[in-house]
Amino acid sequence: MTDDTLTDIEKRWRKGVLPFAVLAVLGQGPVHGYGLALALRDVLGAAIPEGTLYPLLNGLERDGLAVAEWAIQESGPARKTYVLTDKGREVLAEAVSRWAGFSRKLGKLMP
Amino acid sequence: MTRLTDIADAGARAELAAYFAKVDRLLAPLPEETAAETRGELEAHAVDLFTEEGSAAAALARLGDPVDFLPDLVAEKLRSRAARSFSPVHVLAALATSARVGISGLVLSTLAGAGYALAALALLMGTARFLGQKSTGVFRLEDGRYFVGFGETLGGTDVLGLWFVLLAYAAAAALYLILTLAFGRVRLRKPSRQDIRSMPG
Repeated sequence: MTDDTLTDIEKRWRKGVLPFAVLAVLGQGPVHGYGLALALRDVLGAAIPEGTLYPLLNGLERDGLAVAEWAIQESGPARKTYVLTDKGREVLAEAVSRWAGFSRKLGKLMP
Repeated sequence: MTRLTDIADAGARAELAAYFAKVDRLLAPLPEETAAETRGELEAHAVDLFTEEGSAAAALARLGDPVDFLPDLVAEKLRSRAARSFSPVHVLAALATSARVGISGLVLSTLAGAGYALAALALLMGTARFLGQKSTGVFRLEDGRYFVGFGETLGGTDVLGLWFVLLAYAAAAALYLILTLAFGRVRLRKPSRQDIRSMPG
């Protein structure tokens, strides 16, 4: 298997897990776009052009999973932060449960 | 520090300003307040990245080319606005903007546009009949088949009479409402190259 093939496989799973990872970060508390990108870097490395998080956040808002609030900063103007709604928390809890099952089954396939 | 104007380095500020001129062009179809809000978010993010990276080029590389993510965001915001207001002006703006977001956007706008054209036709037919054009309506031909006439008729018996006006208006309104709600809920998927740029280090 070539490096290119491995790279492609890894790209795909990182892309697939992104919406779940965004929900999981929001589940830890209110966060603005840059904070979200920082948190995701630990998991996804530098794989994401950080601007692409904004359509995702907009989609969560539109689907009622998150709401945007303006957080007052110690210095400078207020910043837009995102907070999970009750519906978002329910979806996250269900996603976490399904992920655990999926991960367990996937683990059984590993050599 | 959340604004470009907070950056002391004039060269970096100019580089970021050029990027945000592009952002402003892409956000132009949005209502002023929404565009300003989105720009403000991106600007704060860019300034944070600049503080972290120490270079405007590195910060903007991390943020990504706005052409890769803003058209999709703008089109989605316009579709959501259309679904909230049901304004034909907002629907037209959403159709035009969505059509420019890749092949999937063009297909979506074409299909939705065809649906709206059908709704407009129903409205036109209802109005024509209301204004006395008796060749517009549903007719039963002598061989038992039905024919929907608009401006010309093959003869036959007028089945609905003036009820046609009511039904045509109801069909137009229902089609418009359903299409607009559905159009507002569609989420387009961007090509993968725009979601994931490269492997992490």
